[in-house]
Amino acid sequence: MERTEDQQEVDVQLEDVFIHYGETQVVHGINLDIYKGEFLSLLGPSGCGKTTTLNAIAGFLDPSGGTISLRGKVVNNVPPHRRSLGMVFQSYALFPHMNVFDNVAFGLLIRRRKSSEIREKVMEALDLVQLKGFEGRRIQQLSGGQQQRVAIARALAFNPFVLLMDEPLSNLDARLRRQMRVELRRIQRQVGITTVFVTHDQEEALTMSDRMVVMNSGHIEQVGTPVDLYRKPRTPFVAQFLGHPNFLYGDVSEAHAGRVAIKSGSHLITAETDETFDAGQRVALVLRAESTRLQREAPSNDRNFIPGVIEYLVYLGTNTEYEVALDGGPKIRVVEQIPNGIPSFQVEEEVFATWSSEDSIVLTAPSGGFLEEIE
Amino acid sequence: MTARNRRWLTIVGLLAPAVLLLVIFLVVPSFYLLRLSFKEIGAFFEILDVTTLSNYRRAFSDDFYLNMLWGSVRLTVMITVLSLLLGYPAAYHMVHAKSSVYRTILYAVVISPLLISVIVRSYGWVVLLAQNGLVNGVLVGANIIDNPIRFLGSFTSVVIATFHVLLPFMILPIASSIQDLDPSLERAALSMGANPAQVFWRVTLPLTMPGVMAGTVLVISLTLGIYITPLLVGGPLQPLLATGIYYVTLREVNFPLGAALSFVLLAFTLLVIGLTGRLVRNFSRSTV
Repeated sequence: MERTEDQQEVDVQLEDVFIHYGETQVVHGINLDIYKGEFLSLLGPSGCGKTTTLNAIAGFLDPSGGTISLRGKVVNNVPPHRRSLGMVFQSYALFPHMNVFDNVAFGLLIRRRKSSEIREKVMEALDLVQLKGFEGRRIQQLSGGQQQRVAIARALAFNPFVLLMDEPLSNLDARLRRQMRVELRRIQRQVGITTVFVTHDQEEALTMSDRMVVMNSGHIEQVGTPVDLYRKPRTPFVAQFLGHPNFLYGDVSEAHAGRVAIKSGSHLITAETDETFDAGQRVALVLRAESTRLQREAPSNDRNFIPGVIEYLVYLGTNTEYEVALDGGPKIRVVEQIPNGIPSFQVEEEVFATWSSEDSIVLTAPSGGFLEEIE
Repeated sequence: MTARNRRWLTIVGLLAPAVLLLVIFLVVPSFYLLRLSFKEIGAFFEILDVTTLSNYRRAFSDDFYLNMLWGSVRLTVMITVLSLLLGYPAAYHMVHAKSSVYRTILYAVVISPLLISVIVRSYGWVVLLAQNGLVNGVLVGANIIDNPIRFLGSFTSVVIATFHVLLPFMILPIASSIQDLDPSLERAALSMGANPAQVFWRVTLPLTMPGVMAGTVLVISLTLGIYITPLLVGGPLQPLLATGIYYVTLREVNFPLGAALSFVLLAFTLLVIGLTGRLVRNFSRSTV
């Protein structure tokens, strides 16, 4: 979904948001516009500040700096119960002393709606999550997946501005989780509600989001559509977090418009890039395991290649993962699709790892400890 | 030996020591006491071999004893209500304290009185509440009152000291049930538009009712039975059933009457706890 800033209505806006827990600063100046109707994921490892950011939007935490606006109104001083945001928690947080109906009706009861209206809205919400007929059940009688649905119905029943979800799928088993991703997206599209979804699972974020925000130690690394972020990560962190990248380090030997030559060890690699680099600059080359190929002979065209030896392979039926020790030291992972179920190479075979100059990403090599971290 | 027999033997083996102890030191003496309560004493305090209901008749007709029962009811209601009203916020604050050092200090403050003998604590109140004690000293010194108030021996002093002795028994069970509450439940209610007062009445209180119930039952039964604290700060003639039993038994040496009053107190305690349990259950059901 392509979006241009000026035609999109902004539902939630974070400007220079800082958050402290006591003395520790956990969010360092976040700027983010969340558009009306979009499904936005906050993705990152634990401790990156994604849940903290969500809690600040909900009003459970006060930012120590910056402003949070909902539909153009600054809400820094508005308590959570006046923000009208639906929230789904990791633990679901269903009220155990109420049945399904009363849980879903809670937000409407608080708003003193007529009982006929409450009944209608609750039924509508339960219908949406396909739990009609469950209204009289006690929470303890429901399975995890059903509790999840009640939590979603409850968060939507009172027509909130925005739906906030904090790792809602992480308590479900793998199969149900996959099912709920599709289901959740269907519900969100049907209601058309702006949704902020916190997760540490890259697959979840990639499959569900219109846009995703990759966070790392309290700041935003990159914002974009799943395809953007996967294809064009702007930092090694984003590259590493989405997919299974290999990193090769080298120095730019020649820089042209849209194209650089990189000297890595004794190998000369060419790569296409939108960014501009200077000759002599230290860079990281991101090479996806999925877009690298192995072959027995050096390629005759202008594909990049580095010779190496297969150290071991992992046979997975439909594909095989190889670890290749490249000439000059670095080890890379290569995934080969094998429709016939037979791997093409053996352990200790000498091969050439090849890739086209379009299939790699050039990033400024980070200074400091990140190089070690990638190993 | 079959597996079934072995299992039975294990159960019996595990239970026997405790059951034996209870039978020897609780059930048997209770029966003895019950039998005693239907006897009378003679002119030389000897127990006569008769069977009569006169002790019970006296307990329920003599104003002196009815007054004691009424005093016990008053004290129990006051202590229970006070410790609920002051204990719940204290427990809530304790659990939600942000700094763990501060939280530990609060727990220590609540628990520490339990580590000191009830007699020492009660004497502490005697020292504080005396004519020339700290409380009067401060009140007179600050010109709030002209002459020292006579606290000791009054019902007020009994309420103050008993409240202090029993407050931890209310705070601790409530704190533990607040501790067990998933904090996202309160957040969920807030997110749906409930203000903090609505969150408390509709979510926090109903879900911490087990703690309230446990604390209430503990405080009621302990208040009805407490005699050492009222005795020390209020004197032996406080209109309370428990001190009354002490007085009748040890000063008047009327064991049968003391026994009868004990059973009146026991029956009354069970009745009150039963009613409280029903009340609490109805409350948590009505807030659903």
